[in-house]
Amino acid sequence: MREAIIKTARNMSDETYDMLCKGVGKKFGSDIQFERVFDETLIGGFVLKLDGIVYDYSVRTQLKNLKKHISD
Amino acid sequence: MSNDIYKTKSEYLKQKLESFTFEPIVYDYGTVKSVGDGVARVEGLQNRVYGELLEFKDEVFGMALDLEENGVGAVLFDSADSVKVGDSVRGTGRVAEIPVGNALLGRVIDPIGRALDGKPLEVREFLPAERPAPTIIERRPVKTPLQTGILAIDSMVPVGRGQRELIIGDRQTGKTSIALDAIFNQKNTDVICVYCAIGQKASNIAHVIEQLKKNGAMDYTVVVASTASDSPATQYLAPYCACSVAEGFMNMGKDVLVVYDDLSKHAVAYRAMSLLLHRPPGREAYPGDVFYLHSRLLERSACMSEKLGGGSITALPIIETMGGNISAYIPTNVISITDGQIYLETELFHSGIRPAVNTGLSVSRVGRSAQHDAMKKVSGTLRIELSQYREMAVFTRFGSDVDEATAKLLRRGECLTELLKQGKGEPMNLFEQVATLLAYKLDVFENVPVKNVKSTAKELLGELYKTCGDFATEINETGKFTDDVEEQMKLFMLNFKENLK
Repeated sequence: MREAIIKTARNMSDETYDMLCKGVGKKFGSDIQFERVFDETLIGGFVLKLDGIVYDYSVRTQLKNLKKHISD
Repeated sequence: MSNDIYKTKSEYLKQKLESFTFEPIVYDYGTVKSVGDGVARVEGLQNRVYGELLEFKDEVFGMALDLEENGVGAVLFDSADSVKVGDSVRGTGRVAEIPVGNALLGRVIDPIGRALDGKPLEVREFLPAERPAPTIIERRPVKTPLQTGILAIDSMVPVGRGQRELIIGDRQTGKTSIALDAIFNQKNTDVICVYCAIGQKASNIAHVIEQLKKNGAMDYTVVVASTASDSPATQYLAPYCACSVAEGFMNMGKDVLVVYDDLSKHAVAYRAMSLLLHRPPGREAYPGDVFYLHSRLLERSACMSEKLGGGSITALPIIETMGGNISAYIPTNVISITDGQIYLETELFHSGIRPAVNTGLSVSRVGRSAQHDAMKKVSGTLRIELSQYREMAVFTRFGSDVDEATAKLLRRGECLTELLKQGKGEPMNLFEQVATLLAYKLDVFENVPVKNVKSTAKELLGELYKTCGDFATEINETGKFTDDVEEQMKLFMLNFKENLK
């Protein structure tokens, strides 16, 4: 059994979360146990930690990137 | 008018927003398992590169140095206070880098690439701190001289562009002064200087920067500073970063002078780091690769071939010895790596001979071929004469009766010793050096009391500038000393000697 941590903000609905888990299971294998962590600083989106790799799909990081992109 | 600005600004924003793509950020992460003494053990983080930068919390960075099967050992650059067990660590995928380029001139930076002088640093170009040295094909022999402006060095232990000349001596013998004088003397030349302070007192570094500013040397100098309170990892990285900064300029085809002040402290910082990483200690508790530590650094000094722009890096590494012991581990290592050494002695320093260069123990292995023709012409026998004098001076210290030849040898030796004395920040240009040595050769100061030799030499130079100013520019520009010029200067000096009586 592999463990995955999904960080989301509280505004993500449970249905969306379940869909997300299914999607991740489809892509990375079905033997994954999910743990949900809430982190309001993400603003939106989610961060997945799996097998020592972080997949950052959070609004916070996207905004950070956008800031960098504009000021460059 | 203002509408236009808004329009262009909104256009700009629109363009930027349109070109932005939403992409997830994917990176490896690990967890801190233990932390202490500036070293963190991290679990996870597969596929790291040796020397890769790791990002801890709150912008604290570390470098991965021990790569193991299920984790890495990393040294931290900043204080480890904010790093806790259980924190996640992110691999950045890049090795330690340092900004390079013209924007760095006149700036003070730390080895992480942050400005230390309070002004923002605007640079786009970066080079990794650790780079392979230029290959054999890419180099050419050292042929151009690098004038240090110090008579004792330029005449007897000349330094060429691309050479590595070690400055070695006990504490308080003027090692840094020689290096700084060499930097000051590059004013109005095309040479760019990099001063690298490794593990030094912050007050000392401040003093050096002040001196550089006072002498107008900051315009063409970059200071890479790590203080004694910085972590060993930062101190370890400092000279490599300084070398990369120098390589940035060398790749533009420029000649660069780098001063590493000093490599003893660098070795000590590396020893601390290695012991904390549990690497086995060797002689004097230094790790096994302490030779390679310095050889790979100094090997990066080079004189590049014309094809690659013809730039060069001249290195003046400094080593501090304990009690004059040059056969300790680190001094012998660095002596064997460099192309010669300038050996400074406490006794000479205290007897007023400054710069306190011991000409017997100082050598330059490639400098001779890189000396100006003019200097070659007048400096040929200096070393022998000086060592004969030293030997004889010891021999006759207690006896009063000496024959005429010995008396002459002693007198000339004293005179030369006097002429080689030079204050801090008083560089001599090539013409002044050649003229002084020519005067010594002609024994112009034969009847001058020893204590007046220096002032008489100054007077002579003043007179020479008045009457033979053209020669000065000719010699300084071409580095040549034609027979014709020599003959005329000889006549002038003999005339000057007559008038002294």
